[in-house]
Amino acid sequence: MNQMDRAACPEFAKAEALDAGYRGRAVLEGLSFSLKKGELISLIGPNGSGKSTLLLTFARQLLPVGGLVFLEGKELHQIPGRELAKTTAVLFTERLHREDERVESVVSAGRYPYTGWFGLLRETDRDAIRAAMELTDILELGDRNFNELSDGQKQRVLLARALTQKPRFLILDEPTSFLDLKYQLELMQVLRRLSREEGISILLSLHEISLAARFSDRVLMLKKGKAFRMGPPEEVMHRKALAELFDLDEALLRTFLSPGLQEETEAKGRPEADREAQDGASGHFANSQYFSQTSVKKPGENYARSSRKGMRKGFTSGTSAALAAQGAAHYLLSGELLETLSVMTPAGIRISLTPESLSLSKDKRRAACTVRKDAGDDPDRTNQILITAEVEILERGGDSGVTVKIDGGEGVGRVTKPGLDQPVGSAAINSTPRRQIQHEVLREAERAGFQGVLRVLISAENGREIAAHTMNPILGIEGGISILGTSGIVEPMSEKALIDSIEVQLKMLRAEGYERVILTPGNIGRDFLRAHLSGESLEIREMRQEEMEEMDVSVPIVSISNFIGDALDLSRDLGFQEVLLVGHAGKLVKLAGGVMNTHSRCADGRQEFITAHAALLGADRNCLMGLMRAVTVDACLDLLEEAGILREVEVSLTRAVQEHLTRRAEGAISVGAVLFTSAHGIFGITEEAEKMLPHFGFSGAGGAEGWSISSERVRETRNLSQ
Amino acid sequence: MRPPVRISKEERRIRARSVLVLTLLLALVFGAFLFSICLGSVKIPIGEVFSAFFYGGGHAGEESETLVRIVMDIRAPRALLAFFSGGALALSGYLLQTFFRNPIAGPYVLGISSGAKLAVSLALIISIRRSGSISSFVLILAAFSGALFSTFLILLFSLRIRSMAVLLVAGIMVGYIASAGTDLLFSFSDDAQILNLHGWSQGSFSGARMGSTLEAGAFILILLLLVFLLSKPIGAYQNGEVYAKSMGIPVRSLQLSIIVLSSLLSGSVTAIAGPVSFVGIAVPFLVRKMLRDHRPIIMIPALFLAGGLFTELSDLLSRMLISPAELSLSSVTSLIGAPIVLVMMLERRRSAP
Repeated sequence: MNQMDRAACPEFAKAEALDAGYRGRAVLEGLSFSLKKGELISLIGPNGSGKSTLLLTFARQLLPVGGLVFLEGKELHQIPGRELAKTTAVLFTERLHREDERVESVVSAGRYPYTGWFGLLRETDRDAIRAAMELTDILELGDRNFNELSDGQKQRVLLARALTQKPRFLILDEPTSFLDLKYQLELMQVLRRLSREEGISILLSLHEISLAARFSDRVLMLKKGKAFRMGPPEEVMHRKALAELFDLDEALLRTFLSPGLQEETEAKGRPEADREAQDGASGHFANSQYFSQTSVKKPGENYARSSRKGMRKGFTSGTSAALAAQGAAHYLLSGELLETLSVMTPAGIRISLTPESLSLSKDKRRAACTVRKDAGDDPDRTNQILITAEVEILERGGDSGVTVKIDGGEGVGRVTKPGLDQPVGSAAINSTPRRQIQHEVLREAERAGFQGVLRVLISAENGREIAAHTMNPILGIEGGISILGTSGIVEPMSEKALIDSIEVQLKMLRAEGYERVILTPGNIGRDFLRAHLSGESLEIREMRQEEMEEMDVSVPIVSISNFIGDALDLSRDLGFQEVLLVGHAGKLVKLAGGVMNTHSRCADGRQEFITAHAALLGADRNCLMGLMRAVTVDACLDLLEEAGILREVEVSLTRAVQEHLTRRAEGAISVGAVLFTSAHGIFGITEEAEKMLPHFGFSGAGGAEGWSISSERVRETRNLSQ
Repeated sequence: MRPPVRISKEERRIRARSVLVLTLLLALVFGAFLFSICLGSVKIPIGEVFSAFFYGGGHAGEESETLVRIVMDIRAPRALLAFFSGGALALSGYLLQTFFRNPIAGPYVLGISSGAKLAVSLALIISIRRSGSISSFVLILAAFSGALFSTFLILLFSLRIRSMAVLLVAGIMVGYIASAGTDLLFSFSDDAQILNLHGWSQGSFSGARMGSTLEAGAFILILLLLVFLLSKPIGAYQNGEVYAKSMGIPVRSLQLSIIVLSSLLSGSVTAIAGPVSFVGIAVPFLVRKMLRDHRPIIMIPALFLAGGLFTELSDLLSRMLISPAELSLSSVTSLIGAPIVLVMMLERRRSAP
């Protein structure tokens, strides 16, 4: 079925008046529901409620006793076996004796429907296996013996095996049983990513209702062979329904679930559009004590970790405010000084830290707590800022429960223009941080048995000064920073954060009057500049103006990761005159084909571009085939050197890079690039770059030769200094 | 960056191991074959053996003529038959282990060989009474139906008995019942028949003729080929029944094929040489130890070679240990195989949680 067809039927899978069971005896009756493409539906219910039966029926392991099951518009039982194997992958717990086998070999079993009679693996199969292992983060387990892995690892291996089938539908029967909490959360994160990013529809049964609440798009509650309720977790998973589902005393359930679990009436009114906020809210389903000291790997971290070592996550100003509010409220209401503050972020990661200071007013009606925000390795203006929450008792007693009022104090901005998350006039504290703060304060109040009205005042030290360097003045947020954060966690090098940070840096440089800037994709480019230019007229510093002035440096450098196109657009729009890109040819050679986001997830094409240019310059077929197979650009260059056309190809590619840059610049800005590789040194200096180099403080320019001489020299000095 | 598609060092090592083991087994099989032909109450120099094979005796002479007869009519068919039977038994055991998902399953312990023995005894006695002779086709057919009957009996039990240990005990019981039936048959037959039967029921390759050996060999090789062609679905089946089904494999047909092929393999051996014990368990265990790639596509040929080797050597020992008299084949295979199975069970116990 092609893309168009699939788009035409929004229902990916569907059960119609389904009776499911064994040998003609239905254990599950009259079930009708549909599963959308990319949707994750969890089945919950007591043992024997028919969860596995339903899954087995959808996996076509069981014939429906009555009714029909459709998959991508086709009746399930009319789909040929091999076709189905390419559509649906299953993960059922079959505890069986296994022979000792390498993990990669176990994973490769999933290629069954794609391989020939004897199941021998081809290159494409190996690609699929690697991709699946990367996705489930088990690449480094490839050579281990499957039988010796932990349960969590085994489950990830089996998931990888399922993924090598390239399924559009995943069916999992209690995949989190036998796993400890860490692996449960990690597995669920992977599943959620598969549904959101890869569009895989997922149907699974879960015992852990907190996981179902946290990760499902919808839950289907089964009780005694019937659908009990179905809907988004925040609508259907309230205490009363759960108690009824499991035949549990509601009071008993209350002792297990956190106070954050909503009553039915409260939960229903939530707007559907505010999906992020719901993520935040559903995070609270998880009992905070239950989730002790756990760190959850976020989707995407795998890549971040493999490409840049040791990137540290931080937390948002919203989380900082919630931590401070917790400390202040606890001190105020129970009179204890907390040594460690700890909150669960909406992303499912627990953040713990020690408060900077805690204080209590003489009349014991106000307490304040200050924490230091740690943005991790994400470039951020508000990193290390001190955020204080002051909690004040406005009214005590009454039987209307607890009311929490949140406001911004000194250093926290105020909204003056419409169109933002908060209405005009209120403090620039977004709804997710507000919810986080409220949750923490409410919990403290409940613990202390407090009833009445509390006011939380969030302030930020030097917030006004810092805010001047942010987007806030433009957004019409005056008087301080915004308390932001939808996930509560700052992801290092996350796409949006990065583009935002590039924008902020470029904007600041423009504001400081710079007209030229060097853009570099990352650490390699930075290191290259440092190694090759130190001792020359240019000393590299990261954005510290005083120091740059002191060193008489004329051009600042901004790291732009893979977002070359975005950075160029920003530079152009901000009115820079000249932009010099300096980077490893492994990334920048992609520009020769007009690939402006050099992340390998977006596009690769390096070998292809090099091969095409080599072909035009008369390389023979052997050489071209070698180029296509080469893994790194340096390897390509070696081959070209052998073929004696290295220089020509470099020149040709460099010219192509310039053409694409010029096109992107739209004539409003002059852009050049310097490409190098670790083994071959300078790869090429584009025409514009050549013109620009003197403006950037390179005394004689002198083209590629001049550069390489200086690099030789630098290498020598480096060796001496080591 | 496109990840370089490479085969890891470990995988290379595992592959090299497979190649090495297969080559070694092939060489050893050949060596054992020559050994079996040279050794015996009459020692035959290796040169004579080659000339017997390639020139039908080479230079004339009565003595040499006798040697050629010994090689071509007695020792070579016997060694060949031992090889084919051993391979068939190892393969049959492997299939049963796959089916029952237990490495201790085998045609002998599950009473399948005994079932075949009973059927063969019955067929022998009936047809010898009637016509005084029996065709090897009838013999194999009887053995096969006996094996199949016992297998389905075990299958029937396995539907009700979940515990593997209990199932094995049931298999052993089936074996005893079949053996008792065979003994009962003996008491209804005359002395000459008993002598024949008794010798046969202990397992022996002593009566092997070149013609029937080649026929049996061809039959077993066809079965081997069929099993080999199933190696991909068998591998998937080893990953679990639900999993195999999700791969589009018709699991019921596969199960039936496994059972039928296994019964044909063990049945044909029983028809030819009588029940031979422990080869079906001990050899797969040893081969698993030798190989590190346990996919059926490697296991099946390796098993066949190793089973052949094991049985060839056992047969040689049965002839040599108390020469000129012979030990029964099963005594030798039990002597070697049973301790191996014991070790294996101990190991399993240790690795089980």
